[in-house]
Amino acid sequence: MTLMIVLGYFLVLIAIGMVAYRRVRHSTDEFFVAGRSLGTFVNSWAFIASLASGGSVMASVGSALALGFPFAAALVAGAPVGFVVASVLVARPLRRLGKYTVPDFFNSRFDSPMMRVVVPVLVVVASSAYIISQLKGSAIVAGHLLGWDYQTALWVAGLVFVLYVSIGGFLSVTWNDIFQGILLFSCMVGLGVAAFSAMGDFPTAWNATLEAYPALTGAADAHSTWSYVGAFLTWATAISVLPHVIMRVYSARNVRSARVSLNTAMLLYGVMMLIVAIVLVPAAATLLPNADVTDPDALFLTLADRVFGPVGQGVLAAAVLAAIMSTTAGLLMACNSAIGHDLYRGILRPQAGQKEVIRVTQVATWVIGILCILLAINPPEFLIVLYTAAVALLASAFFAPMVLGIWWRRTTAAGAGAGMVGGAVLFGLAFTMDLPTSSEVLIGLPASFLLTIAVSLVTSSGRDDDVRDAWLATQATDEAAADAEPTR
Amino acid sequence: MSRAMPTATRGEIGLLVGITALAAVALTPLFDDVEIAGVALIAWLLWFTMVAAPVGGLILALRSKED
Repeated sequence: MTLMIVLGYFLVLIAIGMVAYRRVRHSTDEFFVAGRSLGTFVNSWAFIASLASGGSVMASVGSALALGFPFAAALVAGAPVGFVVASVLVARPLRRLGKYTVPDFFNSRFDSPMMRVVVPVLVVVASSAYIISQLKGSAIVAGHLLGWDYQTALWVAGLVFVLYVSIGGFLSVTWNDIFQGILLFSCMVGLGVAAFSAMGDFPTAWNATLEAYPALTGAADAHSTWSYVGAFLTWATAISVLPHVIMRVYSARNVRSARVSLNTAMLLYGVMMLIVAIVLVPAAATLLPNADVTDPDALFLTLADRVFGPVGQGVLAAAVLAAIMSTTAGLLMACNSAIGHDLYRGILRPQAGQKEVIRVTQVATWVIGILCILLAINPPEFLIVLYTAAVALLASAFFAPMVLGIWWRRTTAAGAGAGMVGGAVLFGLAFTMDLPTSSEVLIGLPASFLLTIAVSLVTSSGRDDDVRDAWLATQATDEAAADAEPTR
Repeated sequence: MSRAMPTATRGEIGLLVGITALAAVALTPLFDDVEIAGVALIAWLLWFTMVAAPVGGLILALRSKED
């Protein structure tokens, strides 16, 4: 039964990709940002599907039991805060810019030859590390649920999402994300209800949980303070520069829709995480008395096996795969657009037509997808560390130049470039040192801010900046309709 | 003549300041030993921030007149 449901789910994904293909094959606007036509409802579900990955869903219950609520809270609270930060600091300027990718912003704001190469390359490298870890997760889940061996599960799951991304572009990713987001949220609520019913009297279960896991709710001493701050700050800043999130901002129908959907999605995500904390954690502690908390992913699936019947288990399997595949597809889209749009059309062949760019992007999707599958066959031991580092690397490199570029008049191309390269290099150096987990961003991010500001102050001539003014011209279109009471 | 830079509303600035203040209090080591109902203060504050921040952001976005 589980196998039939999952195979049916894969067929639905491919069918959606084929339908989307009919709309996107002739236009880069349609292929990269779904014609900028996505409304609030659509984007809200797509945002939640993009954020909720295998790790954040499957590992949630086991991580809370193993690491305690304080560190688990620091890990999951950063992302919702990051979406709110993005909705205030970058959503409006980026949507008004009306382009396709993160590199597009830097090109428009700074017009720097160095950034034209560095930004897309960083996007491809960091996104690929993220994709490999997600692929590994999907293969493990499919293997656990369907009994497939690791390599079979990896190739089947990998090829399904590469296929629907390559043929249907961002519209296909979005339609699939809506389906996947609703499926995931419904399953988490359903699992919460089923677990709540199964665990009996709630106060008794909660007290039993505290007795069995005394470290669960205790003082925040499981990790260094710097780990808590770093874990929170990484996601609170990275969301504003994650390429697969920013593409959704560009694809929104208008500024207001982009901002409403960013916040709505995180409210739904917060509800899911509260279900985990309040219901699923005590349910796991009560219903699985001999649980092995050293394998957090398996704990989530074991709990589902305990409270769901065969159909429920099949649907949950599809939902978990949905969580992984939606994030992976968005990242693959970020990679292929960095190659097709930013590197090929932006540098190699500026005269390329829309069909040619789409064809190159489709080829890039297959090349990156298959490379990531091959690398995921024998993933390095430190892969999970690498994936967290990839997100923190993007935050260290891009957050300061982007935010200062938008809000601080005197930011120069030299300043932004210094902040970008300096933030990335210092983050890399910190990563090689023996620092507390997740704390490397606390070196890279402040360094990036300081370098951007210091070099901008030195290189700012005080004269008019034509590139900056051209960028500002894109921001003035809706000024009359903008919010009242500006303060600066 | 140079164009004006983008502007933020008082509500948006207040939201960011509020999030920063909550996160700073939650993550300050001084409060490591504070517990409410047996649960560390840091966990309470971070869970609260996780829900309060999107609620605040949503209210601001819905009140916005821009399109």
